[in-house]
Amino acid sequence: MSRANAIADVCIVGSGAGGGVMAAELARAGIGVVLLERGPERASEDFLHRQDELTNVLRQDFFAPGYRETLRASEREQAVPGRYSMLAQTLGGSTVHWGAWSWRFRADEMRMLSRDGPVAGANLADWPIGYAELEPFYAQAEQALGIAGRAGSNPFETPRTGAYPNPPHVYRPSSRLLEAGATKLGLHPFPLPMAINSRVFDGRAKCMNGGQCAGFGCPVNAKASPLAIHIPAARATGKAEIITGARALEISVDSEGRARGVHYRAADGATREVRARHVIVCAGSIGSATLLLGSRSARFPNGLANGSDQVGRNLMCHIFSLVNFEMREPSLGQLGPPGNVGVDDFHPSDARRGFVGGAVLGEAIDPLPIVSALKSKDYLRGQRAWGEPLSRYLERYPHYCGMIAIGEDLPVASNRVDLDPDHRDAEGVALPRITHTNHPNDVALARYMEARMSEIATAGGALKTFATDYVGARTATGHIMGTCRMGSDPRNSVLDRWCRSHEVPNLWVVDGSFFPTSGGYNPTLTIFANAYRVAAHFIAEARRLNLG
Amino acid sequence: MERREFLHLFGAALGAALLARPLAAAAAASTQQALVLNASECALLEAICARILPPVGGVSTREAGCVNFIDKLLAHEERSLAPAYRAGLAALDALDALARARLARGFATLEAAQQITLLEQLEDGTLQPWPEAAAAQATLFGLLRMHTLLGFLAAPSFGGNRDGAGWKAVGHVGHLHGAGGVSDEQVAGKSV
Repeated sequence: MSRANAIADVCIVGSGAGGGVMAAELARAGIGVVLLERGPERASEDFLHRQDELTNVLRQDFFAPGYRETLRASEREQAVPGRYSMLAQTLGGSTVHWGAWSWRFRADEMRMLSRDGPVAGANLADWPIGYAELEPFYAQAEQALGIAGRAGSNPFETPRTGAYPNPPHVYRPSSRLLEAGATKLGLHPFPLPMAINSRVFDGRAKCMNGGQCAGFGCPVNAKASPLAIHIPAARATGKAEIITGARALEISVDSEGRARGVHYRAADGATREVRARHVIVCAGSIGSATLLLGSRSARFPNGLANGSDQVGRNLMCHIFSLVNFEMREPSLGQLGPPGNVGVDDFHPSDARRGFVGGAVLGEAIDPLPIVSALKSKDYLRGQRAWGEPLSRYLERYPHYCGMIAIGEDLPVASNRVDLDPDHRDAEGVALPRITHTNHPNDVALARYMEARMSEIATAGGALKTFATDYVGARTATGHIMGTCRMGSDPRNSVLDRWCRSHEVPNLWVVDGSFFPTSGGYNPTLTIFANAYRVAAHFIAEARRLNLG
Repeated sequence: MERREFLHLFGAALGAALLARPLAAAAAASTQQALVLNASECALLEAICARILPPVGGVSTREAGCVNFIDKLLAHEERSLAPAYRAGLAALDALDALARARLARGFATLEAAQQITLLEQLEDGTLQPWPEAAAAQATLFGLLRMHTLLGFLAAPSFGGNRDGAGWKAVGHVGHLHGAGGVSDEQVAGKSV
């Protein structure tokens, strides 16, 4: 039967941590999947020969060439076109170029409103699901991704059942410095869990210790991603059709207000429609929100699932602080995975510190020479960052390393993504417009963590510490969360507890968009785990949902 | 660090003008002949790069080919910058002429201290006279500094960092996956 007449069981838009899991799990259960991915399929050869720091990290042209969005701090400003979000448009999604730090959120992080009470200017909420419900799916995700770590080594983690599938990675000299410093201060350093193989696992190679993880695709698939794991699994079922170069333009609706399918622009330039019984949007916080907002019809004049004006709101991107340090011996930060040591002592929320929420601190290797060179301004603060001091700084490149705080930022309703009325891309589609200002709580948290990291590095024997200030960076991050909040009340949330639209019964959003609050950990493992949870529910309901 | 510099770090852009860039790395590496800059502009840039980044581990910006990197950048990937760059260099040329008139020497042959003073004034935006049509001085200096660093440290395929000279100078080991990776013992610093 030709596509024009066929109705797929599900159409999934996007192939990252959410869409990859949904495609693999549903196809394995016998549900027919059509997966639309905007980007191309990349091969190991591309990752081996075509990536470099300027292309991948500074310009971010490798994974999303030509991607543009606009940014402003408030509604009073005109948004400026540019490139602010670190996202990848490629089969496997942004998880292909992630840094692979893989945390479970703490139980109390999912009850932020109850834990901290209301905060002026913020829009705190409790998640409609709790840690206990997510726990088995965290375990499932950790197994699937081959997380390397040591269970029980982080005393500030919510107690867990089961071990990690792989042992931790070996410590480099900079890891040992931070471990020594933290221990000296009475803190509790531990090997931070990573979705990078510390040994051959599940048919994927052991890490070659070649560096170049965050911002890069792994040429040997030692770093877990849907490209390496879930896409092949989906294909193996014979139940999934995967279409790359397919840009979703609009979700169409039928006369009953149900999603009818997805219009997309195919690689050959033609516009086509996939009709499906269910539409599962997994295009990331920016992509999913803009797809819904752009799907306007007489019945949904403000965009699909947006009757409550919540789509696009509560955009979160974490607040980061970074302390670099110089050590006597070479840090060997260029070798191995991106950071090894975590410190989580400062994670529990404590309003007496002047802010609510917390952060995990982790070793941030000084990855590649251009970014390191640009930090010379921080090292040489107070003097001109050129001439002999710059050259002497660069000669010490092998001796630098860093520590980064992944800080919980507060949801704010006016921090949002919508469709820019003034700027369109080459295909005539409105650019995503980001309106974002950090809540004062975010800034206070970042400053506090910066001071703690400086103390740790100094106690460990660093010759010098120098902070790189991220606070003004707005959304120049890969940790893009929120925009389709999950909640029990349709008046102030977009999705129900199963990531299903309150308004459109056969429309689901399964990616980082659902986060009601951001947690003080890298978000991706939680996106994976939640996708496994939603997939299990979807499969259990399949008969009732008229599937399979 | 200003927000703008952060965006440099994390890829947002050097500025809105730098967005469109058909990657032309192969073309960049294919010729050492200048495509955009004339001989005197090349000489002027050589002198400026050398002052912004004196030899690192004995490797000079001239050896690394920083000017070739900038020339190819302007030719292929950031063509839109070329007019501003040219205007800026023309202004520097004018200062060059001023220096010749006053000191009987062009910028490239000035004493180091004199060159440094002029570059400090450029960074501070206090060079006089400065034509209105030229890029703002601090912006031009920022670009020159950024491009010098990129010419020294970006992958050799972009036309600078000749044969990995810049990487060797700073002790960057290059792309290890293609070289077979390293052992866990090497990561730990326990063997070579």
